Amino acid sequence: MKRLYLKILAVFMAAILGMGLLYYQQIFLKKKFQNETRIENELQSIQRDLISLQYLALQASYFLYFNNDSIDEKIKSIKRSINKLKYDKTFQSSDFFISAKKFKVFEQQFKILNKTVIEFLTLNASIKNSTVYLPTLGLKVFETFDVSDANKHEINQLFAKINARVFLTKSALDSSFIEELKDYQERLEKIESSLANRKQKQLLQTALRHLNIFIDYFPYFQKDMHDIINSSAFDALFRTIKLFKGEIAKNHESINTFSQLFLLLYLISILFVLYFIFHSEKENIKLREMQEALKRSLVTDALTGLGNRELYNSERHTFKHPAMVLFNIDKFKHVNEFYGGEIGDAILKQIAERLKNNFSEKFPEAKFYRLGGDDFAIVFEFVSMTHLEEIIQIVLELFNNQTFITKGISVDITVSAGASHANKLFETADMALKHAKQSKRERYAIYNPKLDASEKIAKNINELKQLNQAIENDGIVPYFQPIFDLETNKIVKYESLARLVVSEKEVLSPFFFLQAAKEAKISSVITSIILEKTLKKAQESGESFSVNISPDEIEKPDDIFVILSMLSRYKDVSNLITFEILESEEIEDYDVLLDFVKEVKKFGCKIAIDDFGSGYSNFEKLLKMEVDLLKIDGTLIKDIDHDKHAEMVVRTIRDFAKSANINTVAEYVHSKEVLEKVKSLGIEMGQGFYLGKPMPDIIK
Amino acid sequence: MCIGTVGLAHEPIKPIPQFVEYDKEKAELGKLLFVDPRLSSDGSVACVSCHSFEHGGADPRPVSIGVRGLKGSANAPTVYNSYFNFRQFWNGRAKDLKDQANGPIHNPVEMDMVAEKIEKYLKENEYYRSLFKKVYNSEPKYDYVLEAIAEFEKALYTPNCKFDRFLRNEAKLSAEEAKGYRLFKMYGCITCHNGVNVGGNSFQKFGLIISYKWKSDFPDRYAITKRPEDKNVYKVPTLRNIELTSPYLHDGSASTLQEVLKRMSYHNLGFDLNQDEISALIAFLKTLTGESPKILQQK
Repeated sequence: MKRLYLKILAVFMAAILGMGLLYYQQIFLKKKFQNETRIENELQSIQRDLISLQYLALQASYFLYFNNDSIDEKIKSIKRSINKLKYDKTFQSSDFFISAKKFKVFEQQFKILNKTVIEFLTLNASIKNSTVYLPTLGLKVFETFDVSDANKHEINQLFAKINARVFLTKSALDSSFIEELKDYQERLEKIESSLANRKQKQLLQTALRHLNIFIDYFPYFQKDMHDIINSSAFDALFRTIKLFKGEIAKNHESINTFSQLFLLLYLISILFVLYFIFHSEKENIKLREMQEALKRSLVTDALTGLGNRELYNSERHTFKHPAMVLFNIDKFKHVNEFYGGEIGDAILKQIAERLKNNFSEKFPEAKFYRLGGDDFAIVFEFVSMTHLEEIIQIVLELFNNQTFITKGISVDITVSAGASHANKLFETADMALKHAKQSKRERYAIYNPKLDASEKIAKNINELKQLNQAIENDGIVPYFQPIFDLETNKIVKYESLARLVVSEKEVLSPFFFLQAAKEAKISSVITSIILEKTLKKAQESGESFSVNISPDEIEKPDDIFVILSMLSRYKDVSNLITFEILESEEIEDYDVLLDFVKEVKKFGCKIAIDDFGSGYSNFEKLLKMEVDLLKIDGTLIKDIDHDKHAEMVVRTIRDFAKSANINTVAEYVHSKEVLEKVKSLGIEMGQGFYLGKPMPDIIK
Repeated sequence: MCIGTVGLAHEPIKPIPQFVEYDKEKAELGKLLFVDPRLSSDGSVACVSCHSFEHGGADPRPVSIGVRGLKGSANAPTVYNSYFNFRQFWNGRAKDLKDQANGPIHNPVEMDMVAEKIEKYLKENEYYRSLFKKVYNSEPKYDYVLEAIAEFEKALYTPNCKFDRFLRNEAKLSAEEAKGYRLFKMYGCITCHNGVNVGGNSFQKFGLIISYKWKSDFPDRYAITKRPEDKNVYKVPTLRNIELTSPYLHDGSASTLQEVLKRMSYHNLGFDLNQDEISALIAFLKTLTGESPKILQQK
């Protein structure tokens, strides 16, 4: 945290420094430009004044009336500008060393020019005055000399020549006529010396003096004029300005370099910021990846790598209209008990593998979950019922009657499936799965609203009502299915099966009411009704009968008492009764069962194990129960004519039974082929639709 | 009116500004110093001794008389409007009034003073101390003395003379005056006497056509340049208030306008003016007399 603050502080300081530098540069540049502009303006102002000065000098020479103040003003203005620049810190700095040096040259040149201009003004006044006076004096010749005067003509001629030459000389600024003027001067002087008249003499003397002034002064005047027009001050100033501009450009170049350096620094800092952003983004990505992994581990089943219920809950919303095929291994509990948890886990793993390998290609959008225990779910977008059933079939084909070989042990499993695309997806699929499990005949079920729990409850209630009514109205009746001795083909016994008579036409099998009865804890009542009626039938016919009894119906001592008291009432025929105990994993307390067996055997009753081979029988316990009869599970029998596996199991059962001296009964003998097979295998007894259906009464 | 204005715009003489900006406090201090004879070595001569306010800011004596009765070599030029001269002194050796003020103070035949003595005197004087404190926020310094005097002299301008009002189209010249001005231009006086000060903006030779006697102590350009042609070359004096500033010329040798006109025309034009011309020129010159400086009218 401290490091972060330091970093922020460093960045902040850098920003402040950067801004400060930029601000400084801004101010610096602004001041620099201002200074440069000021100097350049001043230099140009001098240049303008110099040109004005030249122009004014020309004016002074050209115009007779001229205000000398204007020249003095220009000179003073230039002097002020020179002083400004002389004491200008920027101009006198090393930046403008060359131009400032040149400017000093200009200053010297200007001093000379200034002197020249002042001298020029003196000469100019004299030249101008004399230039004007000579014609004026020429006019006076007419007043001063008589017409008869012999010299008058020559004097006039000389004045005319002098005036013409003076005019030419001054206007052309050309001193080459001075020699001519000197000649006229000499001639005039000669005439003057010959004169006696004081007034005439004086006039010519004055004229000669003026001419003399012109002749004497003009070369200087001409030189000054020339010096003013061609003053090297102009050149010096021009060079100063040029050099100054050059130095500005040079300075700007260095400023430019400076700016480029700034830009470079700026770019570097941007790169740094980019790097940091990139770096932190990378860190973020790492963190996000870690988070993802953590999240995945939370939603992933560690054993199979499939998603767990958490993931399912979060992902189910990604489907528009999800459908689910839920399946589990039939009697997986037994696999675990029989082979151990390790094998069970290995099978689960393999199932997951097969799911991934076989489904991902065909249905890439399908998702797999292990929702708990051995419940696997495939979730996908619902397309149609056909599609749904197709998937169910694939699942069943993939896992049913498949042998899983794990660590040298091969395990056969079957699976049942429930599917749904209803709102409460998992719940309804689970319901369908349970239905499939119950049905025994069907490997799968697809949820439809009829399976809905509420309807089922309603149905239950309805069934229970009917059941209670039936019990009251003596509607519970036994149907009798014959059991044949397969060697003699004679009926040796009847299985007494409970039926619920709803009406004359409608007689329900236990499939429709047994569950309800069990849940209502009245199945034992039904059993006792059937037992009593069977005992009566035995009394009537003297035939042997078997009665189904569920282990949970004899859990309570009360229930056992009811049965035993009934047996004691029909003591004479009790030895004709065989109790068929459902071989079931539900048997929790064998001692109770053994107790029951012991008690009924006292009445001569026999004990049969029903559906033998479907569960995972504990042979030791079977032997302890002194079982008389094994009824081989119908699911093993019904396909025995072509199912080698079933045949093998049946053979095993047969061998076991023979060695334990127990008779065997084959159930579900529904065809001739099955009958023949069962016979050939040496099964002693058989029953089934082919041999005889359950009937309200015995056949005889 | 319109034509008149256009015509006048080309006149080479310009009127004195009606208002010249100056620092009042400094000028008032300068006025005090200007009239204080204790700024001279023997306490007898002040600036005003030779630049009399009663005589148009000039000296009525041909040459100035300094400390201990010592005589100078030139007639003191008027201090009025001297601010508008391009240089100061007859030979223009001072570039401005401040520079000029330094001259007479040190001149042994004028005030014969040194800066330290003046500073000492001013520092010891309670009134001056307080004034300098007020004006310069400092104790009296010689440089401030010159500056204050120069500022006062800057205030000695004489606006609104008849000719200036004529130039501004506010007044009409009389026929005689107008004739004088025409002659002034015709005879080329205007060539040297032009600008605000009707002179004072170039150096010219006195005795250009008919030379004037030269003395080695004349304060001419030659005294500075030592060039023979600069002998008797002086700064052209202003003609403003000339009516009041007799005697005339650098040596004060002409006591009347009549005389100085005769001398000028003789030496610099090479001929004599007749009386009519002289009268007209005098009439014109008298239109150059302006109002007494405002700073002198106060208090």
